[in-house]
Amino acid sequence: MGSQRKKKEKKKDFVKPKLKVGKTKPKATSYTELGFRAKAIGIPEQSITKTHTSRETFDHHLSLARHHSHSARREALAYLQAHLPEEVDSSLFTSISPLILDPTPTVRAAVLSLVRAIPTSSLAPHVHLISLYIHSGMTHLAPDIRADSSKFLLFVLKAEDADIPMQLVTRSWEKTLHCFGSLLGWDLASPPPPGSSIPAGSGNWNKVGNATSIDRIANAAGHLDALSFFLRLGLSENLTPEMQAQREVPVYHADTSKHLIPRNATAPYARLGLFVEDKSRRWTAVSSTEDIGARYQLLKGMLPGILAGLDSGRRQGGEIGRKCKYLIDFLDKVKSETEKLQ
Amino acid sequence: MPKRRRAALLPSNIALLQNLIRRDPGSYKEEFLVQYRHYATQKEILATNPGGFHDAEAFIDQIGFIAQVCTCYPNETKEYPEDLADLLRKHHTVLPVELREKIVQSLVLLRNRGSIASERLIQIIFPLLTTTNSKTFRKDIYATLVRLLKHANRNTKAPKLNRTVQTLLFTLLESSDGAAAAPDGLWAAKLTRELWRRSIWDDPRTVEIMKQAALHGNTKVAIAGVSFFLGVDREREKAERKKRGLVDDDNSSDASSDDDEGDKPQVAGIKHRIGVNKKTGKRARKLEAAMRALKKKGKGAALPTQLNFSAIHLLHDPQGFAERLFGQTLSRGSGNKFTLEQRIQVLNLVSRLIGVHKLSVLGVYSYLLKYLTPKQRNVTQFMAATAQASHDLVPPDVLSPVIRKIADEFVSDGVAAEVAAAGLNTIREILTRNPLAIEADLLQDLTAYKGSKSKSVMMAARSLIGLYREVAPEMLSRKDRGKIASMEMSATAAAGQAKKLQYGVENIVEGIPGLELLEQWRKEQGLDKDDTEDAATKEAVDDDDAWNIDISDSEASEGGWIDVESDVEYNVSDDEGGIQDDHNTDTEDDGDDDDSDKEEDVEEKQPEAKRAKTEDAVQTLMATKILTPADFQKLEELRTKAGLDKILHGGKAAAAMQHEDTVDATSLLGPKTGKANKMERMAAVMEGREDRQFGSKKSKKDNQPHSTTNKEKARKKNFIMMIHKRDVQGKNKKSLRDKQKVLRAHIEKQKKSKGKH
Repeated sequence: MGSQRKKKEKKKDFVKPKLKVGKTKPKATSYTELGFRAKAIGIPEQSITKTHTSRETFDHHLSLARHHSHSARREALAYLQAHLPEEVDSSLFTSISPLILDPTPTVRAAVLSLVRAIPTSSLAPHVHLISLYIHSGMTHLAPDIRADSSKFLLFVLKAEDADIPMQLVTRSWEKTLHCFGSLLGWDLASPPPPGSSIPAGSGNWNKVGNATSIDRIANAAGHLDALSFFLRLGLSENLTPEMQAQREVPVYHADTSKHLIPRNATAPYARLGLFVEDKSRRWTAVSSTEDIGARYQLLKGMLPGILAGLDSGRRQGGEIGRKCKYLIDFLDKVKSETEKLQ
Repeated sequence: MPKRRRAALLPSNIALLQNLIRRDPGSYKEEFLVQYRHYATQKEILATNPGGFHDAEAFIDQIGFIAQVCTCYPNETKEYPEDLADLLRKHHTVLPVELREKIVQSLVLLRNRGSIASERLIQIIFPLLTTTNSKTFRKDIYATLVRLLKHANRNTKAPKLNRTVQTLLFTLLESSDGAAAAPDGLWAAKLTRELWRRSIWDDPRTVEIMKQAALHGNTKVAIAGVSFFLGVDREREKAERKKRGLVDDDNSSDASSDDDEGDKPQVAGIKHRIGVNKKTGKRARKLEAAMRALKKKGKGAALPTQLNFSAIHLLHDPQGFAERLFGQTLSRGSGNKFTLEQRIQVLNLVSRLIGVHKLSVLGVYSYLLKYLTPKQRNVTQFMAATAQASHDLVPPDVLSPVIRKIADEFVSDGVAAEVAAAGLNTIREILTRNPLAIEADLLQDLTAYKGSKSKSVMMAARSLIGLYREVAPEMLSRKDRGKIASMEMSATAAAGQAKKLQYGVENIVEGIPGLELLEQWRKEQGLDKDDTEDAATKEAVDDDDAWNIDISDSEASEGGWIDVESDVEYNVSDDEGGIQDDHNTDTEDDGDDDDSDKEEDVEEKQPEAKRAKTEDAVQTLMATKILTPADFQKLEELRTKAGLDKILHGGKAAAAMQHEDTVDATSLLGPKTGKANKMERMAAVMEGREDRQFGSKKSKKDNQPHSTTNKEKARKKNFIMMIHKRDVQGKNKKSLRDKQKVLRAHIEKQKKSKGKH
């Protein structure tokens, strides 16, 4: 019977094991082996004296550029500026260019000084990325970011390497003009009806920033500087010395340089619009304008709006008035020249 | 001054700006354009690096804002929907999740506002359903699609939109017909099924989509299609009932079933709020509106159901479908792509198609032969499929091998009782649909099992006998025929009109069976003369007497009406003229036929003439009289007397012959005998408990989510706060007399409440 077998088994559990002479005591069933022998002692690899490579710290500070505390960001930028390597790669640009839109003024100032410190040769391939953020800054909702944007723009326009501003001019001419419109509060999309005249000192100038009046004037002056730089770059023929030389001594056709692929160009075929799906879209980043004629054609539509804005500025007088006057004169000159050509 | 400050705040305070723009779009255009330009530049930055966008939250807000006010500036925001569509199409795999969701939401909003057409929205988001690899996003899009179609088809069907989507689904199924892109097809099938279940789509095109799915090269898609045809009508009915509120709650928690519940007006909640809050006109109106909505819903429940054709009935070309389905999935060439369970499912569908549409797919029967052995796994399913696949237009020589096989394999002395019962039941099911498929010898062998010791086998054999008593008693052995059938047989033999079952001849009911008996009885009683002479006066005088059944002599019928079987077609003699002509021509035809084989039955001329005479009499009766319920009562009596009753009740078998219903595999095993085991008992108990809720009403009420009641608040209030209140202090300051009063009242109350119990 099963039950008897079970009884036997139960009994067996409580039987006292007999100790025999000359034999070791049998081990209990619940016995656990406790003795162990260490063969080696492992020491975790840690050292407080370990030196990081400069690259590692640099990368670390790159990531700190996105830190939530603005002082940390600013310090990271200062570090980056102090330890700039000779060859700057794209990771630097991708992490610092969003800071152009940083809400803290000191951080923006730090970015500006950092960008200034970067050698222009390594800046050139990343102009497009930076200009996207500059455009965003120009249309930004926060007035102080908007005010600072023209500093970055001026920096790009004044860069030593002539290719850098030309990239901006050729690749995003129309868009930059639109952004100026929103920056200066001008309505460029719809020209004012011919009969109406904008009253002197219309609210537009006051909208440029909500800082004190002196600041406001300084901001507006900065914007106007950038605009005049931009327009001059785009609309007047600025020939490099070698082009000049070639024109004077025409080995080939005088205008050959226009038909060659521009030197140092990062996106030489961008004007063909091979990768733009819908060409009718207006706010595209790449609306390539290679020559002055094309640029003028684009400008022509916005010209009444720009002139109206400048006119109201001119009537304000002072520094702004002077700058506006200068720009009006320049635009008139361009207008007459191009119309003479046609 | 405050206004200026507000203006300065505007660019950052999107909600305020949205509100202002709604009120006066014209004057806030400048502010809007600032936002829009900012959005445009941000979008471009996003396009360069969609994964690591630095400022997603602000961008999300901006997208929502523009979508909200987009209708105020249609010219400026012309490109906005396409921009969003572009972003979604190009970058949906890398965009931050919230941004992606927001874009879809905004697109839906734009559709609701009429900025984009429904078709366009579907074109935008439908491809994402199959290309995205995020589960939640897919679920989201799926729900959006279903909701969109539901809304579009809410009041009237939107044929254009439906057709667009159906075309998309068609192409999806077609393009995914390689094994690699299977999930796409699966989604198409799932969406179609869901829409069918909710009765949003109920047209043949939908069925065509599922047909395509069932014939899909991929196993999963094909099975999805097949199970649609097998189960979806039941599902739909269930959903319909649920919608009407007949079934309280089902535990089928679909992904998108919850949006139905939102429609329920929450009368209880509103009532409660009115009870608790201050009574205002607005709240009263709300309650009224809710009650009205509830009433409307209740009215909807009482409405007759709209015509609901089963998916199988809506098929175009069922013959081709069944052949292709059988050829692709079951026949030998198709390989072993499907598991046994899947093959059973497909077989089930093929057999249902054959049964419902009376198709001839002869390969099925030889295919089934292979599986009809007791050792086969899930053999009852195969047997059920066999029964479903047989109908009266299958040639008997195709079906008889199947029957022979079942008889050989299942019904012999060596097998277990339940096996034999299953075999006999299957044979019966097949034979109800096609009685010619068996020879008399085999039938008699099988009916010999009526004496089996096992109850289930005995019952199965008896049911077989019962069937043949109605259909073809001559095939049974003499003692199995029974009294009524034998009487009928001898009567028809005497009349020389012994009808034999024939392949392809449909059983058509030509008149009320046994009407000649009634006619004869009337003649004997001499009732006819009365009727013809002064029918008008008689009817005027004892209208009731003639119409009603004399209750005293009809003990069977309780309510004065005889039981009328719903599935039997009665030929009520209301429309005399046309039918009479038909019948006359019929009888003439019969006469012609008989003339042609005159050589054989010369001596039967006498009865022939007699039959013609009675038929004439019947015709006159049908042409001149309206039969009253009392007449029918008499007719039934006479019929039972004459042993003709089986003809009427034989209707049951006749109905079964056109039987389209499914055969339940478990029913083939016969009734369960013996004690239920523990599991079955528990299942029964659980079934009983399913919809009942236990516990007190109060606890249920308390468990409902609700805010704190005043009572609870008072009870939980800090004592220190209460200590100086009059409520508390007053107790101490009460005069002795007052204290006594209170105590007295308390005692009284206690006594009362005790007395109650």
